[in-house]
Amino acid sequence: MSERRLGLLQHWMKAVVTGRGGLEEKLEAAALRHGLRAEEVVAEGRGLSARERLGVYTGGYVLRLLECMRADFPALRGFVGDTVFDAFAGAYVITRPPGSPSLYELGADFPSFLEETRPGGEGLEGGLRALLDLPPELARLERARAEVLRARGVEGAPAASSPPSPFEVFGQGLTVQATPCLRLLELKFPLVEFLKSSEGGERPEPPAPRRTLAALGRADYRVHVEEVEPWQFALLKACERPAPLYTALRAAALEVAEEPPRLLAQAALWLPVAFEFGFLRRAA
Amino acid sequence: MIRDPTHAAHDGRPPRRGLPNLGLGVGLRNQHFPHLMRHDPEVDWFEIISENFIDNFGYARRVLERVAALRPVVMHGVSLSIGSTDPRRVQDFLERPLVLENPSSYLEFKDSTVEEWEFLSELARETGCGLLLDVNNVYVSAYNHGFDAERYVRGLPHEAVVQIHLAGPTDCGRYLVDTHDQPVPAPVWELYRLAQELTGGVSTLLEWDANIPDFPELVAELRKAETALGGENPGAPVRKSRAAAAATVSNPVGFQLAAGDE
Repeated sequence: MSERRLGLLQHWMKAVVTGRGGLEEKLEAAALRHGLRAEEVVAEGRGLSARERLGVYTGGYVLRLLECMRADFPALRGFVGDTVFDAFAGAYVITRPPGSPSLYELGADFPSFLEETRPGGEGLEGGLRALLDLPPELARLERARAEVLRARGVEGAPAASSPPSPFEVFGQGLTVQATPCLRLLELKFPLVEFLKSSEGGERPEPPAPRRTLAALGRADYRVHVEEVEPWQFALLKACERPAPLYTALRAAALEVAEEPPRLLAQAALWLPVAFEFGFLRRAA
Repeated sequence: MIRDPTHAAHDGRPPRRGLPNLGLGVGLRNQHFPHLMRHDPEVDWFEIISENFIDNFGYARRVLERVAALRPVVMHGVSLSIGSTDPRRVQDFLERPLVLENPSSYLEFKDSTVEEWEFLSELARETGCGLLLDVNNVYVSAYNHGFDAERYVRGLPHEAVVQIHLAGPTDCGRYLVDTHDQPVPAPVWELYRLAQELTGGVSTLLEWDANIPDFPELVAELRKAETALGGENPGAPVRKSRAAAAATVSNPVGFQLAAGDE
């Protein structure tokens, strides 16, 4: 077989497997693009037609990736149900076929895909229409959780992750930094408890919309997803790069229009928690 | 491959393609992390899907460190698209032979001019690569295309085979699917015994990637390899699918993303 013919067959097969629609649509599109029909390419026999044989590949391609999407977004799947989840996740893997050798990247754009394909909600009353915003937001939270699970953490650095004492907090010598696995999210719904309930096997009622700030981190290989106060969110943001605690607190205070001394008192209580949840570490 | 350089071949034979016979192994799967962190691994070696660990700095990496300290670990890359390039270029870059696996397949191209085993044999001879002989894949493809599985196994250059894979497929009626979710059936054990006889003994891996059983049950299935080599076939018939054929997945990968924190 010539290299040219081999290349043509490979491209035709890829077009059939990864194309949009049902098998007939895929075959028509591949025929238009590459000038080949299934019966010219695929050997038939043992009672199986070319289309049936191709169907094992085309069906398996989507199902295989769907299984990965289900594994990465279990709470979203539980909320919208299998049929709706599979419809959107299936459309996603066909519309945005994976380009990375790592399956971890597969779901990265799913939240934005859900945002872009969000139904308009015409004819729905306000509360129900607002609920249409929930799936993309829940997907963002679950995607962040999956990233935290696999990101670099502080497990190998016990000295850097040991919580500061109040003496250190007030002593002005402490320099802090966000952990590499910290993720910060501004959400339209209070989804942290919703996610925890879902993970616990419950089927929680969807919450009413409310702007919420969430932080996700990991310590001792345990992922922590927590709702945080605006000043805590601002402080964590201010620690993206190593910063003296007082400098970060002043930046946070400015952000939330608070007095720095008041934040310092609150930080003395909260910083040990932020360390234990894997949000912050000591900077070198 | 990561391995303890002092690790002796399981059977004392000289290595082939630089790789010793490691004995009986299984794939390292997230579902077994809690068990493996608390118990001796029980098996001779582990295979990992390399891509699952390259960008993963979470608990999976911690488990891998522990397992690798106790047993040899073989790295299996599954996203290299190696079939679309000349393996010699990759081998030259890596300065070591690749080990390439025969796939399970559901169609053949009308343009094909050689049988699969002939192609693999020529590939191994021309490039010096090793072969990973998946006897379950041979069985599945032989059923789906109507070729003689034993002739396939006998036809390969046995000196190039460095590892054998075992798994359980599903009977979907008119064809078999490589589902990796069942015990190894009798015909696959038969091919395994033949392959081990022809190769003189190489590393064995049991693949189980969906409906994954608890670790002790997995090990019990793996140990059936000893029974098979003893001349008794420990397998049952191929299981028939209870699901619609269209919902049966070949080579499942969802296990790779199963939750894996402590």
